[in-house]
Amino acid sequence: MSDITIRELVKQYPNGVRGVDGVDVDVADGEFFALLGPSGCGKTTLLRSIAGLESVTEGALHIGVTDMTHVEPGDRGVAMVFQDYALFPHMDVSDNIAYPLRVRKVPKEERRATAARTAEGLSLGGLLDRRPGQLSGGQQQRVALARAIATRPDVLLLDEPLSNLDARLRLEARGFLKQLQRDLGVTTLFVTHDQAEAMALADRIAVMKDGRIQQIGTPREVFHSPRNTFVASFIGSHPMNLLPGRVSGGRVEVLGASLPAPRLTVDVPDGHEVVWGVRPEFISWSGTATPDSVRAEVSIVENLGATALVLAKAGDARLQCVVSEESAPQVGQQVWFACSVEKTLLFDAVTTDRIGGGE
Amino acid sequence: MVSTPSSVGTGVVRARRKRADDVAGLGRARAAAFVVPALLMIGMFLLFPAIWTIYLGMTDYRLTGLAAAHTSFVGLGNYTAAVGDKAFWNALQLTVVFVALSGVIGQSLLGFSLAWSLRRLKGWVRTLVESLALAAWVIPGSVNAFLWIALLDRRDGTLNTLLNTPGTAWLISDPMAMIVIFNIWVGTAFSMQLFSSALSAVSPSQLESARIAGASEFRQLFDIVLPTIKGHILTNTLMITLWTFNTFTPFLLTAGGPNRKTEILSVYIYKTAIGSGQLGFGAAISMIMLLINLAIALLYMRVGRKK
Amino acid sequence: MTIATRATAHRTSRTATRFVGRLGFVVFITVVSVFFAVPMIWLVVAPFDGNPTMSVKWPEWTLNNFHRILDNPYAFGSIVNSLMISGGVVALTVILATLAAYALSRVRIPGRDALLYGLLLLSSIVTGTAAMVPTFQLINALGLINTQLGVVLVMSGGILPTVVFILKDFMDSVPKSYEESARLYGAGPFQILRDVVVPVARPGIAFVAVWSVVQAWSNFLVPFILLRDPTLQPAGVLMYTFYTEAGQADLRLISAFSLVYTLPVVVIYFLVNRKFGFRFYGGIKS
Repeated sequence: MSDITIRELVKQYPNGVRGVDGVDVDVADGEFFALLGPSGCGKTTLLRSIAGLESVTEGALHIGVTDMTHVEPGDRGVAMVFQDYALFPHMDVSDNIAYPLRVRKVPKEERRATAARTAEGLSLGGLLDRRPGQLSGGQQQRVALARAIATRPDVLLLDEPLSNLDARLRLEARGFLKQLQRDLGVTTLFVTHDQAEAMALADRIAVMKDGRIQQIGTPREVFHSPRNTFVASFIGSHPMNLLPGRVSGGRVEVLGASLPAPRLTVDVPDGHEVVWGVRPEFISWSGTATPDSVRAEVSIVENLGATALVLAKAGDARLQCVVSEESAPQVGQQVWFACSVEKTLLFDAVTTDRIGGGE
Repeated sequence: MVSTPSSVGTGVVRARRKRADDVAGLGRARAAAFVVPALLMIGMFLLFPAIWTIYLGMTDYRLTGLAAAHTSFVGLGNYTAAVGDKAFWNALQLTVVFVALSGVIGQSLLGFSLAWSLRRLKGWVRTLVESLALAAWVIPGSVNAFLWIALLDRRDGTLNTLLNTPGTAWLISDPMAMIVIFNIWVGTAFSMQLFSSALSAVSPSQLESARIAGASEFRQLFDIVLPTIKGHILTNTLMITLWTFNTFTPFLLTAGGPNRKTEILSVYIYKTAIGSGQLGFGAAISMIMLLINLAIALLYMRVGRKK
Repeated sequence: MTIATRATAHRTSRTATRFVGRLGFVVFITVVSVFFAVPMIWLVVAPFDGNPTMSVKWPEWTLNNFHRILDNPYAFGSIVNSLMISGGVVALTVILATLAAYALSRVRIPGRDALLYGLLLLSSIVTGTAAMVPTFQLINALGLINTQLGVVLVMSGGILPTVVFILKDFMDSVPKSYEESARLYGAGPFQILRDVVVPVARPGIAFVAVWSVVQAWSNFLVPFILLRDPTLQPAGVLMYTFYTEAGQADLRLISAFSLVYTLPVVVIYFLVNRKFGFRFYGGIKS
């Protein structure tokens, strides 16, 4: 079993800054797990701590049942694909893939055979004699992957695996990576700052900020039931509408209107300050007033192809919604926005934690 | 899709080492072991001689004779002797002239002029001029010295043919001027290269806007170029000062003569310490030279830091 | 004067200044080129002249002068000596500096930067000339006077700080992920050094190796002071002996020998210069 258990992990730098500040994570055997967050949130430091490339200040790390907290990186059964791939420029593809085997003193013939077989599996068959400098970005990435899996590691770590590819190639590589992980069934952790990448690839996502985990959950959970406003605004291709409001008699006063409140998970008194949230994708508009709707004036319409992003002003507040391109309103038009109450969320204005809505 | 190499499975239980706390997994102890041999070499053959000079300069150590066997401590005797020695003051004075004329003025000015005139040239003229200057810099000192001995030869020297001055013995009539020119010839390549890389870093758009504003070439030079490359001028001056001050090559041309007219400090040390075997006294002069070097280097660091 | 004529006059004077400037430029470049070239012509021509003199003249073409090198009892040996001394210096400095530079680049040793700058300062202060007396004494005391080992040690000590500095700078620019990657696969420090660091840093190592060769090959003062026996002396010192010893200087030998001694270092220099550019100059001669 190569599940990963991380308990109260702290990485403190000599200057006192905590890169990772008390993190608990459990990754199941064979799981595809994403560490997601803005730059500087500690996700890479956490990944490197698991690899053993960073020393751990406090806490414990187990892979399977073995305590790996202070074990030399090479003895952890962990492989890693670096953001810059770290392919050795002086070795050809075959030698690069076989390097881990060379370290383990595997005989040369066997090394070559393994390298060839692994390369074949990743469609690198014809490239064994090339140097990394002669390969495209996508090919380099696959060589790095081949090298990482050639030794059948217990845990595979990927640092921003797609960030060095151009946009078109990224989509292709995304599918490829997901397929590969499923085929190998190896416990895989990857770091990314791109929420779409995390959503598309991962079985579960840990959203991080300032060295702490904000939420761990499936893509569906973090999307529909974000634990706090940070997760709510970080996940999703369009930022969630988050507007200040007030609870009043089972309803929310927001945008100068009174809207139905979602089911509260915490008891709060009337007048409690909240943040009301709804994703732009769940808002619809109409040209005439409807019950429980908000009046606004359209200020910008951005065409996104099949859909359009509508930016509107309701009093001082701004509201975004994504609608079908054919049915987009005109700029300057008076519209009424409405949304299903199940799709709305309430957050505490002070703690920013979610207190209502969600699945 | 991906085949599984069977022989190197995960089941192999390896002794697990404790991790070292750096990228390479060296650990402090091994890192120290990597650094120490180089430090020992430097300590032994660079630092120790410098420190030992302090002691040696206070003895009457000699290469041969009675004092070679019975060395005694003479305190600051060597220093007072040096201060009273006309030859020492002669050497110091010659050195100042030599450094100022051949290094600070000669090499810097010629080097800068070359870099400035060649800056917009491409092609063979530039390659030729640069290669010639560079060759003079690269040819080993003892060969260079002989090339100039041949050039300045009284009977067959090319210079006498070119200037139509048959029979002039330049190294006897104007020895100091000759070693100054010789040193300019040898060392200009450094300034030239340093300044041409500095000039290539001056923003062309600044120069262009100055030209559009109608500034002449000289105005551009003084208003834009010189202020921009101030740091390089400083580096160049101090590097050249140190090198010219410490060069021994003029010895190969004139051996300090005739009649001590080219006996700069480095030559003076050689002649007193190694030539006539007064090692103690020579060490005292070495100490003075080391201190001057230190002063130049510190001045450089001081001025450099201020910027 | 009308505006038109004034403009014309202005333009004429502009053209005139430009012409004078252009002429001045051509004259300056020509004079400087001649200044640099004239002393060197002898080195190119005399070795091939059947009857060389001090003057530059059209040669009576021959290659016989080069036979003189083999005839002389010391000449050929001195080239071998130069090779041995340079080889020793390169081997010693490159190995020691690679180890030191790698450790300094990768491990946080307290006071590392101060140490590096201190060493560089030391090497620019304690020059061969300023330290010739204590160096001579030290080598004497070690019983290494009149040995090539002594020369190699002194030269290596002198150039090590610069070599370590350059190499450390170079290694800093090598991505750490190479080593981390090798380390994750279980490679030990020496294995990482051999398989990854040295190959990746090869251009930097080649650069300092060439730099050290040029230094050692051209150095005159150290072997001049430390070696008395002409069978041990390198080419630079022997060259000096050739033209200062008593009697008529043998210009056939001197000219051919000069060229053989000079050519390797000039060739190396221009090749490396083309590849690495100006970095190569810093402190090339001391």
